[in-house]
Amino acid sequence: MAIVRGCQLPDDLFYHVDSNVWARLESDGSIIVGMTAYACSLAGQLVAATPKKIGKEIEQKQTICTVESGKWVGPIKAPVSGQLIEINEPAIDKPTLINEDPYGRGWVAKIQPKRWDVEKASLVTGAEIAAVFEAKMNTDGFGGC
Amino acid sequence: MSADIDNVQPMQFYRPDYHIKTPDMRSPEYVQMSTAAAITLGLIPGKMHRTACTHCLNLLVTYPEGCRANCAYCGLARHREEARDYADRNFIRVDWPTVRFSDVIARVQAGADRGQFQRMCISMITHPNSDADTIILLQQWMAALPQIPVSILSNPTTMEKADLIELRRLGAEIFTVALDAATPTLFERTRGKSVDSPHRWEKYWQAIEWASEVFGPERFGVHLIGGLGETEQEILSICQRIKTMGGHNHMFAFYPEQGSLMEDWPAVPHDQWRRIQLARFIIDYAGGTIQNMIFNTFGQVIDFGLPTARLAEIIHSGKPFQTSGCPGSDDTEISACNRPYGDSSPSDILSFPFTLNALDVEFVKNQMINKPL
Repeated sequence: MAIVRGCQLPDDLFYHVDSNVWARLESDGSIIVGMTAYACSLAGQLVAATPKKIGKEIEQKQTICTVESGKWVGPIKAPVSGQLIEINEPAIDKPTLINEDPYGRGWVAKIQPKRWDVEKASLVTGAEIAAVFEAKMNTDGFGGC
Repeated sequence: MSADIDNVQPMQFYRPDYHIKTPDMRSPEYVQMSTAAAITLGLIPGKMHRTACTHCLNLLVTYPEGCRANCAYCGLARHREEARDYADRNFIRVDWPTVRFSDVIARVQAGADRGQFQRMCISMITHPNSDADTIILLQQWMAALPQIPVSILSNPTTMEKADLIELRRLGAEIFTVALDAATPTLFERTRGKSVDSPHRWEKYWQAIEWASEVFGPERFGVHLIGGLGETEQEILSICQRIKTMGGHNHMFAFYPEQGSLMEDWPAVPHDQWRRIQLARFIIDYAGGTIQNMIFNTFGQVIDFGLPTARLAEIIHSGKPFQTSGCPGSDDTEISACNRPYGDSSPSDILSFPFTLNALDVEFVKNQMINKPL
């Protein structure tokens, strides 16, 4: 587990750093997607989440869900291309779940990737995570979770 | 091992948390601060939709007993005391963290706002100590940061004219009164005896007249909430009255505050809100008057009383649809107090906390005529 400026970033996940989302490869080849703790901290307590429809084909960095807090509204972007095959309904119904447990019960969507072997190269995982997010937080002027 | 209570450091910052016992914090040692101000000062992480900061440091006096009024639309209302401690209550849609006032001053002196704050505002509440503590807060601020002007959002119910004179003498620049409701009937139903609240229409108007006299033209203002049940003509009549007295009108869209007595009421209709925003701006800044406006039988504005080209110019500036309030140092027609998303969600903006672009203006124009978006 990497902890950068108080934000937890599990090192077994894959991160699309620009989009501030994580991906976890499942045994059936699908990937689970969610917001990082850092993204949740920036957004504030979420009050609404509106996902795209299941079955939709999505390219990498396209929006899979729009989330809203008291002061901000913005997208959760796909870390890789693929088809949206499942939405985490409990998190959509109660978006604060995303804030409370971003890497667990607060996952957002499941994607069946179409170019995982290629696109995973654009994601960050393992030992690289801390340095890359430290640089991002520095660029963003982020004080910490 | 025993705890050494002499070494316990006073709390500097409290972010509302319903899962722990709320600390005992009271003004003048502590104040509450808007979420936008806390983000701007770097006290809490966060980002705001299409804007990086607020230009007004909005502070609120705070007491564990809370506000003793019970206004039907307000998140701070007394009726919530059984459900939520005062410092944990949401107000204009967001939490208000509590901070030691000395720390606020130290942070602004150190430039934590990156020079963004053009104004500070002390919001009073209905509490026996609110008047005296506001004086103390004002004195401390003026001693430390006199270059950032101060507005007072008053609580007329507990104030006398001498209080206004004292605030003016100590350096307060602008005095505002949150009339909120545009008619005596609506005022009574939302803030008066009907909801077991102490405010009286006549007392509020007395304070506005004192403000006009003590603070003078351009140095007093009135808060009005659009969408409490008044007609457009009724709220604009108040705007005109205030303008004629020499003051300005600070408009808020009615947004049902979670936990308030009116949480299930509908928000102000978009078309109504856009028209009163535009008409308010025309009255306050564009030389128009309500006497030149035409209203239909429902009290809706159907003619703003300006030549078509002039009206189009004003609309295209986008200024009427930005948050209204006390001015900053950049533009007297634009409020420093931009209150990001204080009266709407960021996905359906009613008061824009930033300069509108062409697409925003087109969006607003369609809303004004109720054109499907």
